Amino acid sequence: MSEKTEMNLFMGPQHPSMHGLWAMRLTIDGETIVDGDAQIGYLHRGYEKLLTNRAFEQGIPICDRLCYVESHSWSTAYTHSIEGIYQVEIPDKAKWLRVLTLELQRIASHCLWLAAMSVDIGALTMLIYPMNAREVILHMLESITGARMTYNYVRIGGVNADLPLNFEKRMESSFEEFSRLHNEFLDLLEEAQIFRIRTDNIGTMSKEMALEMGVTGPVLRASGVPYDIRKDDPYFGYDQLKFKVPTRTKGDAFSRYRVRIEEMQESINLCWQALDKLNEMKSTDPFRLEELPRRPPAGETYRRIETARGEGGFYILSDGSTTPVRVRIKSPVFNNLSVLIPLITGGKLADIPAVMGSIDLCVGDLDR
Amino acid sequence: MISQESIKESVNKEFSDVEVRFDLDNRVSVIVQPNQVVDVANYLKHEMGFVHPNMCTGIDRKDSMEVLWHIGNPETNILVVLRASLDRDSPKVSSLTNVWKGFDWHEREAYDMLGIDFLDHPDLRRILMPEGWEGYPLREDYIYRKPNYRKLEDQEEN
Repeated sequence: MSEKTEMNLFMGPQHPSMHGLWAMRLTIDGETIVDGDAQIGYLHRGYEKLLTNRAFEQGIPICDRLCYVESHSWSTAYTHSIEGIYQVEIPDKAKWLRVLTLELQRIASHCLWLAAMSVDIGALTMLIYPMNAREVILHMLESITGARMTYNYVRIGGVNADLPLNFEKRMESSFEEFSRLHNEFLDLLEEAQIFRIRTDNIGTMSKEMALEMGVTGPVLRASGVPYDIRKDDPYFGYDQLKFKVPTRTKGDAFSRYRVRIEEMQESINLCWQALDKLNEMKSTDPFRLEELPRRPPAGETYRRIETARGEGGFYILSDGSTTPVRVRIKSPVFNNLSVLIPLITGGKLADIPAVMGSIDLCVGDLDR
Repeated sequence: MISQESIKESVNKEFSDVEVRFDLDNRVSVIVQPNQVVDVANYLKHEMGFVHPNMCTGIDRKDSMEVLWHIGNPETNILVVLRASLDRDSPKVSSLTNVWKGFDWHEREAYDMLGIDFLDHPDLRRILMPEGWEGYPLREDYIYRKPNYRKLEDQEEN
């Protein structure tokens, strides 16, 4: 026993780099991590039970609160699954409006991730720059949906509102402003050597490990698997749009960072393409289905979308009543975080924030 | 190219008594007996390329307990749903963690929420609810307005 130099360290739940509430029980030997156990559930609000106690449409504003960083993706995923139960096809205009807002949401989410990750590894100046850029995107979302963060914009069978007047002009000036800020802060970050030192070859995840653990999203793509639900299981007409799926093969924290940065650029392209599609439509085209019965047919489905963090989806089982019997939420962070302990084991304690930041946590959809 | 029919054909060739059903949105249900789960899972992974675990869901069907494992394949948009129906009073099924490591936390959650006992799971304990919680919150007969916890101290005495 006397030779044993290991000690236990409880990291979290209020640790500033934990991105919300969760904790790790670590065994460390000096600065090296020997073993660990992730403790989650601090933010468990019982969503799966909550949703089965409410009518289908009442779940939409609740799912908005599932993840505070990208609420629109989650309410859309929920609605998308309900439309699967109803077996209805939404109008084209609603599809393009959803694509436009989902891609804006992705950019906003990636901006927040960048701010958080940079602060985690000590680049404190970087906190405000991506947040500034995010604000530009949030203003655009606000002009479409009426809210900054919890939008409540989707409806079963479409969306709540059409684009505001002169949105194209607004989008042009906003993206111009966004690109200016974006280039500015990327120079600031990537030319800082400390950032490279702290992310290169840190938390390397192999392709095999990523697949085996069911990792999705940018984390999977940074490990060399070009798997993107938008391409591989297209929804809302993503198959009619042209976009690249940024991929890296190295699988380290820097690769994950690069994948997300490139995704932001692709999202801007997608927004323009969606707007072009919307411009082809008449202002009288419907953006929402007329009326759906309150009781969907009995059945079950699992539909998924590509959220900013990976594959998010809802399994819904309906027995033909006004409320679902069972709702199961597929959270991308749940799978992505289960890789964290194997990734950091054997590494240094100081690398934890870099690895964790590059995985992009949102405890809201982790704990549900 | 993998199609729903080709999955049905291959699975039925290997396991003649397994029912394969086509569901909405390109999902294929493979309905197995609880004792077949691991064999079918290994076949799906090693012979059919379903290497990407997606999620594990437990459903309380009131007269039985059902477990669903969604499994993906990066080559196709088809998801296989492996289903097993269990006895509700003592739901037991082999864990698939040894086939796909990614189901580790998912099976822990199904245990936590519905009390499904995954045999051979390396670390089966509660994940979202606190240690010492009594009952399984997603079961249909669970009374959820009452606080259902015991203090950890009391628990250790027993």
